[in-house]
Amino acid sequence: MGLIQRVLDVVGLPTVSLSLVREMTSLVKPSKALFIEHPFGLTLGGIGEKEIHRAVLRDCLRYAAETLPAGAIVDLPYRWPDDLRERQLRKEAH
Amino acid sequence: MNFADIEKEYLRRKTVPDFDWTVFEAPTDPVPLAKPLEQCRVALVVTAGAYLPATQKPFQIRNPLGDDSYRIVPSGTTAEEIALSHPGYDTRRAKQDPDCVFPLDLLRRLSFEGAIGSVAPRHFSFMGYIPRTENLLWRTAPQVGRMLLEDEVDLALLVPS
Repeated sequence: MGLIQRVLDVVGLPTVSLSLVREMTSLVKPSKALFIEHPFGLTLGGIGEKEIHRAVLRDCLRYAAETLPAGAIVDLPYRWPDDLRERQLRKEAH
Repeated sequence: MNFADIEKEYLRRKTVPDFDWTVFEAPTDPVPLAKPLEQCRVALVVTAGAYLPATQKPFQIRNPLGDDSYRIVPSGTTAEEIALSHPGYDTRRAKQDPDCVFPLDLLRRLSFEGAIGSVAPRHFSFMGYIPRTENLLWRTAPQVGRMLLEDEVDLALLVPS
């Protein structure tokens, strides 16, 4: 995701991305990313969690309008209720 | 060991023996919004592997070298028209609610409510497994950038999976 964002940054587009893995975003260094501790495939939240989806997308818009240093990675406050994400990060779950 | 190391080791063992992450020393500069959000035309760029099965081919999820192509998703596309092909997450789960990985419905609602100016006419979907990144960096992602500029997009939101 960060690689695509870098290309869009260079062509002159305002961008903001979500990041599911902070250390990978740190390797690529896109202009502005929001780190969220959600599982792969549930980036904005769980199935049907409309209010959480909305809050996350609203955060994207809010930070898009903010001036931050180049390469900033902002921690979003959302937490996942079970161990799916942790198992995915160990490649023990899909 | 963090996930980047675990994934690198996995890919080297399973598919691409010389795999390594594409790394940059310096960040790209953020481009400030040129207008208030309430006037911005907003586009989504996702790596969910979303495509339109009625007219588009799925991504190559069995190719060990990944798939750096993209699919164009028009703004009027409904959730029922979207399919997902990606080896890295459970697409059956996300298919129940595509907003989890491709929040086009939600973006339309925010536009209707006036939080943004408008939804861009085209959105862009990649599939996130791309171990060889040259073609992405020099051909397919720049193509998407040009189309976003053609569409006079004011803000691109990038959503991984």
